[in-house]
Amino acid sequence: MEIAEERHDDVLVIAPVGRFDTNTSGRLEDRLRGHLDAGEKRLVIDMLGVDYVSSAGLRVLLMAAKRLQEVGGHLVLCSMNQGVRHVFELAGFLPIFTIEASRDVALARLASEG
Amino acid sequence: MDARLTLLVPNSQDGIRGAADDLERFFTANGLPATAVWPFYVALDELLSNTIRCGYAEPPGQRRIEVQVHLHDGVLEMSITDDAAPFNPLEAPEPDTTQALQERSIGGLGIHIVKGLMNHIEYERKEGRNVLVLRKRLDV
Repeated sequence: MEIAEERHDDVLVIAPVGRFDTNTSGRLEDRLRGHLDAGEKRLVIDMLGVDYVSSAGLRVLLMAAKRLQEVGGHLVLCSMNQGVRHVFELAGFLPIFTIEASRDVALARLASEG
Repeated sequence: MDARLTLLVPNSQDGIRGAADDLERFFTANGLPATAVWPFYVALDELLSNTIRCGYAEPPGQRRIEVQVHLHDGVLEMSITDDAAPFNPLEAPEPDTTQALQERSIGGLGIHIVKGLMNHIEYERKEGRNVLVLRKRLDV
């Protein structure tokens, strides 16, 4: 899994690409843990390049969301395709994540949350 | 249209990746877009990873899990057969998908998601093997 990163002021945008499953989720988990350990508190995970997500991927996103909530941080997910969104829906994950349609909207959302 | 695929997947993480690659080649060869078939990548990942994590006591790679795919009349059927200890994933308790963020766990979510994605799912213990059959009409 390739993972692109981009910084917008104090927001870190992370964009994983490809399958998000048992084989690839460990890579994103390591990357996210590294950033969270380093004190990053405002994160966008841009799912535009993610083909599909399985529960292994959900586990990593859940870990990041919980950790950020614990430190008063913010996580926004964006640009999910229909399949990724459907899995979130089945897992009951839509109410517990902040999800926006695009990276621009996600960044605007974080900007407005101070 | 009628097409079949049979895979013998080693019970290892590499085996799962190889199976997903083989599945992708099959779908491409049969002109099936990712938007229609992605539920089967998810199902494969959930079910194979359960089996390799829980099903076998010995080190990874020694056993083979049989995956059969049958595409016919717009319906995709996938069966997963393993000779691990008897285990019916459909009997696992349903996860609570209403808890607040900090209380959530992903236990049981995999099979719950697969049930939601498929039109039909059934388990059978047959001749010393676990057989799980999934079926979905494709939105093409």
